[in-house]
Amino acid sequence: MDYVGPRLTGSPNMKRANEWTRDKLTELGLSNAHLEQWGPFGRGWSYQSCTVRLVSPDTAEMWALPRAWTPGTNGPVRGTPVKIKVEKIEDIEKYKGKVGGKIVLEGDVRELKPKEKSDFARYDDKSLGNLAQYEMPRGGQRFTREEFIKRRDFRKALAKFFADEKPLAVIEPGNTDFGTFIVQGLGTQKDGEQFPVPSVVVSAEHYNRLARLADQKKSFEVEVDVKTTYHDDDKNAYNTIAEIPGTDKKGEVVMIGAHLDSWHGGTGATDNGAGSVAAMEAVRILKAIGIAPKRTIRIALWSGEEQGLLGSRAYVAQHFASRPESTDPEEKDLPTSMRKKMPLTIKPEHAKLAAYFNMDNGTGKIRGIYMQENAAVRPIFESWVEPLKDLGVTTLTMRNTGGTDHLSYDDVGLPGFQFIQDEIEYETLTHHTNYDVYERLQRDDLAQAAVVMATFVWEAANRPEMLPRKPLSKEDLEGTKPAK
Amino acid sequence: MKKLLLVVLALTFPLIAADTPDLTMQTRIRQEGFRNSKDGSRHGVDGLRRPPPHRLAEHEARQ
Repeated sequence: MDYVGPRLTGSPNMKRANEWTRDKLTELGLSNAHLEQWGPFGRGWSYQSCTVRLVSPDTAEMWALPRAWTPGTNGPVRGTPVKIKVEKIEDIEKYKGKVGGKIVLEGDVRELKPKEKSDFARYDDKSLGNLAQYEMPRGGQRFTREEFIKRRDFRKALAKFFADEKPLAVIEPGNTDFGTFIVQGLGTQKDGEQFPVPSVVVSAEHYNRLARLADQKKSFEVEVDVKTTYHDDDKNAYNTIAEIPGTDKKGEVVMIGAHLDSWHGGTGATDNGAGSVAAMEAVRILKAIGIAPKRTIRIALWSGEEQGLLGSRAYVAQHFASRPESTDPEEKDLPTSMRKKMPLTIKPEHAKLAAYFNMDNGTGKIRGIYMQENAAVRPIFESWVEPLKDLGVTTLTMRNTGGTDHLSYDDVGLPGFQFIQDEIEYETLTHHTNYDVYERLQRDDLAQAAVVMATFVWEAANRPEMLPRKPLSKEDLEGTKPAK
Repeated sequence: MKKLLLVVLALTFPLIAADTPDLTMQTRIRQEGFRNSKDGSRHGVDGLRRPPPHRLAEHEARQ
C-alpha cells in the first residue's frame, strides 16, 4: 500500500497493484494467476499535486484533494472566490454570468459539532443480537429511483453550467471534520463525460474560514494549483485471478475475494486493501498447509468496485450469467439495483459455482456472516462457525447487506456472501477518506479475518454438496435462457 | 427390515456428515494463520522484543 499507493481503476497505480498481486499469488504457489480484462471502463486518471492556499491578507495552507477524473488548473490560478449555493436545478439560474473566470466556493459554512461518541466501535453481544434479528424490508432504498434521476439530472445541469461559465476552479467543503474528508469522483470516467473544470475538496474547517470571509464580503485571495493526468492508453480494466486447483470435483469452484481498487485520498488501506490482504492471506494459509481441496478454490481481486461493482459484475457476466444492458435512456447511469431487471442468460459455469465469499467492510475482525435471505445455508454455516466462536465469530443473520461485490453473484442467483465485521473506525474515519492509510489497519483483526475466510472456503470446497441456492425469482425463471 | 434400516442410514449419513466441520483442518488453518501473530506478540509488530506475559508488569515498571 505504501509503495503502490491508492488504486483508482484505470490508473497506473491500479495496473501496478494488479501486477503485484498476480505475481505475489504466483509466489505463494497458486496456479493460473492472471489478469482478466473487462471493459471498456473509461479513462484512467491520476493526480500529481494539489494545493489550495489563502494568500491574502493572511497566508494559510488548506488541506485539499482533487475530485477524481477532474482536470487540473494548468498552473496556479488566483482570485477572490465567489460563494454559491446550488442544491437544485432552479438554483443555477441566478449565478449565470457571475462565476466565469472566478474561483468558486460551492456551499455554505458547515456547522461542525463536538464529538460526543468515540470514533472506535466493536460489536457487543447486544448489537450482534440485534443484527441477528431479521429486519422486515421497509421497502425503500436510501434514494428512490425518482430521487436518483433528479440528482443525476441536477449534476448534469451543474456540470453544463460550469462548462458554459468556465470558472477557474470549484472548491467544496469536506463532509466530515477534524481534517478528515471524503474525496471520490463525480462518475465522469467515461469518454466525453469529463467534469469540465478543476474541482477540489477542502477539509471542512479550512473551507469554513474561506466561506466566512466570503459571507463577510472581505477582500481576500485564494490560489489553487492542481495537476492531474488522464491516461488514455488502455480504456479497459483488470481483475486479478488465481487458483488452488481442486481434485475430484475440480470442475466446481469456490470463490473468495475483495476489491483491490480504491479512491485516491489515502492509500485505500481499509477500503479495501484490508479485504484484499485477508483474502490473499487466506489462500496463503491454505497453500502453506498443503491442502488438496475437492473443489477448485479461486481468489478474485476486483477493480471498478468503487464505480458500481463493475469488475465483479463483468466477471460474473463473462463466466456465470448476464443480463443485457437496458436500452432505455432514462435508465442510463442508474445503479443496477434501480434498473428494470432484464432477462437472465445463464452460462454452463453457473452450475459449477459452489459459493463466493467477500470481505469489504474495513479492517475489523469477522463476527459472522450475512446469509442474504438464504435460509438453507443456516444449518451449514452454524456448523462451520461453532468451532470459531472463541474467535468472536458468532452471528448469522438472514439480512441482506449491500454495497459490495457479493451482490454481483446474488443478482444472478448464485450464493454470494459478505462477512459481518467489527466497525473499528470505518464509517467514522477511514471509509473513502484521506485517512484511509496503513496506520488504520489492525493486524490482529486481519489475521483473524484471514483464518475465518480460509475456514469458510475450505469447508465450502470440501462439502459433499455445493451450497444450496436461493430459488430464482419468477421473472428470472420465465425469462431465463441458457447461453448459446 | 434390517436392510431397510441400513439403506436409510446409508442415505442419511452423508447428509449429517455434510454439515460436520472439519476440525482437523480448522486447527491446521488456525495454526498457520496465527503462527506469525504468535511471533509478532513475542517480538512486537514493531520488531521490538517483548517480555513473556508473566514478566510484563516487571518490565513496564522498569520503563
